[in-house]
Amino acid sequence: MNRITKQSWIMVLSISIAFFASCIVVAYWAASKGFPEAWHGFIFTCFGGAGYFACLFVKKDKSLIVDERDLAIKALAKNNGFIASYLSFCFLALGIFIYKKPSSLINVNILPMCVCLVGIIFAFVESLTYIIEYGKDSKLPEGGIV
Amino acid sequence: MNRVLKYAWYQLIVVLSGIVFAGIIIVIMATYWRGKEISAVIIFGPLVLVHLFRVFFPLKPGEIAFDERDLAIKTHATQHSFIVFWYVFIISCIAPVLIIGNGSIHVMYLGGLLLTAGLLFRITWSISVIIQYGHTSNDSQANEVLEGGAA
Repeated sequence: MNRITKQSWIMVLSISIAFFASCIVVAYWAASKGFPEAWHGFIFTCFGGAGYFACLFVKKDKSLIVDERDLAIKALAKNNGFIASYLSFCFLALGIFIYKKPSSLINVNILPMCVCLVGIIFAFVESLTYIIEYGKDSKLPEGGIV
Repeated sequence: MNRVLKYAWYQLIVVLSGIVFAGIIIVIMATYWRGKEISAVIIFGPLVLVHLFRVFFPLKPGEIAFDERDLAIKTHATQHSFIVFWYVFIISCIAPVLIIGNGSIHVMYLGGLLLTAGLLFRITWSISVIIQYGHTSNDSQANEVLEGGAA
């Protein structure tokens, strides 16, 4: 398992745990407060972004080089992340549009939440692509054995 | 002209034409058909033409779709587009909070943001490709020079 895969695993796990925790919070608030307020529980998913700090804990191996395969995987991961995040924002906007009336107003605080959600989905899909692509064909480190 | 460069020019022209066309229609509708401006989004339908590039410009026999250099240029262009897209998206989401405060905005702001970001992504991609190729690809001219030299 190379460094990027380790970081990706930490990211995927942190986002999954944060999402699971936020679902519990939503369920608890739905029972106690009711539903419009209970949706705010999903804000706890943002704690999944703590997975970005994985780069501080996973040591960098300086003897390795980055080859074309790594660059191709990186480009693919970014691409998949972008597509997933853009589509998720499309569905979110469509959902809000259908839930509210087309001529109605929405609270402006929804927008930063949209940014958080889209960022989290981007990070999750990007990390998942790294795991799948590196786990596909080899167990070699980045750039192979130098 | 290189095929990737041709696609970039084609995409840029289609997107900019679509924007100009939609702008004119919106002005006309705002003047004569007030209250129905939102249906002008349908005018962006011609943007589908972007995906019909292969229909209008089919790959000729012997023509190379793209090589490693083209792939590298496309990857760089996509990265530039990502950067511009994220900056615009985040600024567009944070700015209303800073300006309005704890207020409300129209629900169509999200749709407009989505459309603007998507269009901006395509425009940035096209411009980035055109700039990286140096406005006009000299590949065909270079080949002619080489062929002339060999002859």
